[in-house]
Amino acid sequence: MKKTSNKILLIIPAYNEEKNILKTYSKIKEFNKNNNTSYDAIVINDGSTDNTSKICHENKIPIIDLIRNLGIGGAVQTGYKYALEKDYDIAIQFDGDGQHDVNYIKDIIKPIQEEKANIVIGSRFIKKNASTFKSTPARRMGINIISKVIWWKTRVKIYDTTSGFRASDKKVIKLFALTYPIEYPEPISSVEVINHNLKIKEVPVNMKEREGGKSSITSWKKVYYMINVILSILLMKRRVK
Amino acid sequence: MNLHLRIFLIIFSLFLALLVFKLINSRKLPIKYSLFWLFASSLIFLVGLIPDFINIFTSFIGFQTTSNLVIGIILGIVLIITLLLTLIISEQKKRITLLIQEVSLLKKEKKKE
Repeated sequence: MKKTSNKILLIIPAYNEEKNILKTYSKIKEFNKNNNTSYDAIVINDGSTDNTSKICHENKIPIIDLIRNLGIGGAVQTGYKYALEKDYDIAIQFDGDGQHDVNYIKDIIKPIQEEKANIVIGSRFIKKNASTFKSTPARRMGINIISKVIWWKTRVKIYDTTSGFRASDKKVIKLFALTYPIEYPEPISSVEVINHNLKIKEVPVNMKEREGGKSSITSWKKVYYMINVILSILLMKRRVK
Repeated sequence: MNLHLRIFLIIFSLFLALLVFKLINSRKLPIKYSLFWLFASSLIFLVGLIPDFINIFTSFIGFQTTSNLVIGIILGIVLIITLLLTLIISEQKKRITLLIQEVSLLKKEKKKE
């Protein structure tokens, strides 16, 4: 049955998110109040050059200020290290830019609470009309190609390979705290999880278009990104226990 | 092989070896990394001193002239050193990332007290 005493942490990586971060955090607080939940949150400030840190400190938002910019992978991993240190049962990656909806958290942690999965990906693509925002056609094609490569390599189907909305159990928290891809983290860490014989599951979520800020993947870097991700996945070794 | 080129190779390799020793002495270059450089400089020295020693390889590998082979050898050395450097840099990057993460986590802990 459902355990309700789980300690749950939202890891919110933020790079120059002064416009969104307070709104994102307030929504979580409000959700906690209305639903009688107790999601903790920690902002990982990835060396922002704007007022992200100041806003968090002024509003008593829990924050870790990275002393230098590490990029999304290094920032998220810091969150996992924090989760491991503080003995959280479930850690959830949650974007600071308003893309992710706090109402879906209960859906993505459910398979973990029922012990049906070690990591759950909030997916835009697994049910028809699951999400109003499904990214641009070019990006969807990229996500699809990565999905096919992962299937070919591992025989596991992941549809939304670049989704940054994910919940992990203790085993995965430990794995990610120890080793996490600094570049192109989402698809590669998913394969890493599969290679460690841990279970991965996708649940449909709705994502909004980002309310501000920029995606970490931009313009001409897309092709470079694709080549890197595909090559990394193909070269990854299955770790047999 | 042209006498000028031979003299140049010998002087160059001696200069390289001298530089490497100087860097080791001033503790700027660890012995671990200097070995490869000393090996490279002795190789260039040998080629300059006794070109016959690599003349056999010139036609065997398919180079037109010995001087081209010399350039080929140096290019090979440079490529390998670059690869080693990439390895070292990647390792450094990992360690720096770890340091930044741990220091940032520690700072967070300290603020709470």
